[in-house]
Amino acid sequence: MKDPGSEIRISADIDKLPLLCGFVEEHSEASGCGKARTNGMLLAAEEAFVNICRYSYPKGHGEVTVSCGREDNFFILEFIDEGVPFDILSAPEPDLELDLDQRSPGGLGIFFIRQMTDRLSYRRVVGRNFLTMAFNCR
Amino acid sequence: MTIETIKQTSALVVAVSGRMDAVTAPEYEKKINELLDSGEVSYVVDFGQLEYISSAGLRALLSTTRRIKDKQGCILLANIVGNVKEVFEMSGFGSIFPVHATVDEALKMLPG
Repeated sequence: MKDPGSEIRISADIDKLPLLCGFVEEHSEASGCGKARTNGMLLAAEEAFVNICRYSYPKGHGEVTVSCGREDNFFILEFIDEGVPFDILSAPEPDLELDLDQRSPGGLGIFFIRQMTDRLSYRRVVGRNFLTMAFNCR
Repeated sequence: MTIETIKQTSALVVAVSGRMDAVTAPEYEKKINELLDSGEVSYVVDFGQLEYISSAGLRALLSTTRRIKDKQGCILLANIVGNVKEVFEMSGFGSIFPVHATVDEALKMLPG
């Protein structure tokens, strides 16, 4: 059963992160997800948003629509942008065994998204990226 | 995020509270860089009041730690708890950074 959910459209600008966090927190708690689960969602949401801010619009400014809703036991968060195609699922896994001097800065964000979500999907539909994350909140 | 510093004999204790995310992590980097420029090289970072860290926070930690090491300094982390601990463990950062249970324990590791 999917509830009608809610959505916001924000500028793909890292300074807008607090708006996204407020949106996720409010709706996750209202749909009965616990504090620990909400923290995981906030982490996945930040990483997805930051990726869009950094890479989706290399030529300038863009926006992102974030929608959320409950689907059976799952809380669903979807990020939609009109930027360059980027399939998060095909990104390589970071090497977590490396020591301090060998660590490269990238890759961890996507790793956190994978770790925090119970289902993750990416679609490219008529010029738009759809990243859908599902969190089990039973 | 708020950052407080307390000078101890063997190190500067840097207590970070709140959130270390993509918006606030640059503030941490800026603060450590300023302290480094003022000649401070030994740090104990107290994360006891830190509620949240993301990859941007870890990245800031990594880059400032490299700068500290370039200056032959040292940085020890203390009091990593809750969500922050979970993120450290998940990312493998818990095993690449020297992590101590308390600030006092970390301070004891340093020449006084």
